[in-house]
Amino acid sequence: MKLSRQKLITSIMPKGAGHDVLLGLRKDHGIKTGNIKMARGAGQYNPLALRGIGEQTEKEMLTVIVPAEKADEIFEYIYFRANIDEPHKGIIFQSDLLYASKYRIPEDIAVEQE
Amino acid sequence: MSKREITVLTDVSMITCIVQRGIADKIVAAAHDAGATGATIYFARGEGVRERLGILALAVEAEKEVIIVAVADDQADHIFERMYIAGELDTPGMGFIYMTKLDKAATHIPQEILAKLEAGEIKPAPNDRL
Repeated sequence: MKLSRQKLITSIMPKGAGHDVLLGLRKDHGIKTGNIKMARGAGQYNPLALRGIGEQTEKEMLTVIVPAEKADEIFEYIYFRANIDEPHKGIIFQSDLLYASKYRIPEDIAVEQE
Repeated sequence: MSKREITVLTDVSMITCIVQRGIADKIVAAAHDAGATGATIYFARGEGVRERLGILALAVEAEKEVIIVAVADDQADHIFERMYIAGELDTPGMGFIYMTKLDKAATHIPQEILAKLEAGEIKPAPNDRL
């Protein structure tokens, strides 16, 4: 099995935003696999933050593994698609992976309805 | 449509901490106190030496909380230690913490901080790779 350099892009966004990004990634970049995890966030821009734990909201955590040479482009794509440049819209980060196995889905399965 | 810009942050690390369910909040509070700006918590299920700790393996919760915090490199060690101490991770069965290097990160940066950066009032870290 040939292993190529991959990057892991993780994006934490408000609940409900992840699915649209995954659809966009499939349409515009041909990336068919990604994972969405539910999480909760503890932010700081809230009066409650002064009293301890701060704002807590439901978040989605989107992780997608992409080829290293396309990583910067996809990083920007997710950043703008999920409007992360706006306040309270989350954070995105990218980390290096030593190795990642290829994940392939069968060619002949039906296309998921959008 | 106005031009949109992306400010990429380098020299960022991610601290991941896996603890028993219910303990995450005090660790997040410690991370905040040490200077972290935010944290994300999600649930997981653990498996390991739990069965061998305590009576009937009831002492350690199998349900876990995973905390992830993105921090600047210069604060990372300090926050890491504070989280370790807050979670009492030196006790057997309490959990696990590790730190990984991130290539880059991006988020919303308030306009006044960007303006200060451009005016040179805040200097990027000297080992900035950009």
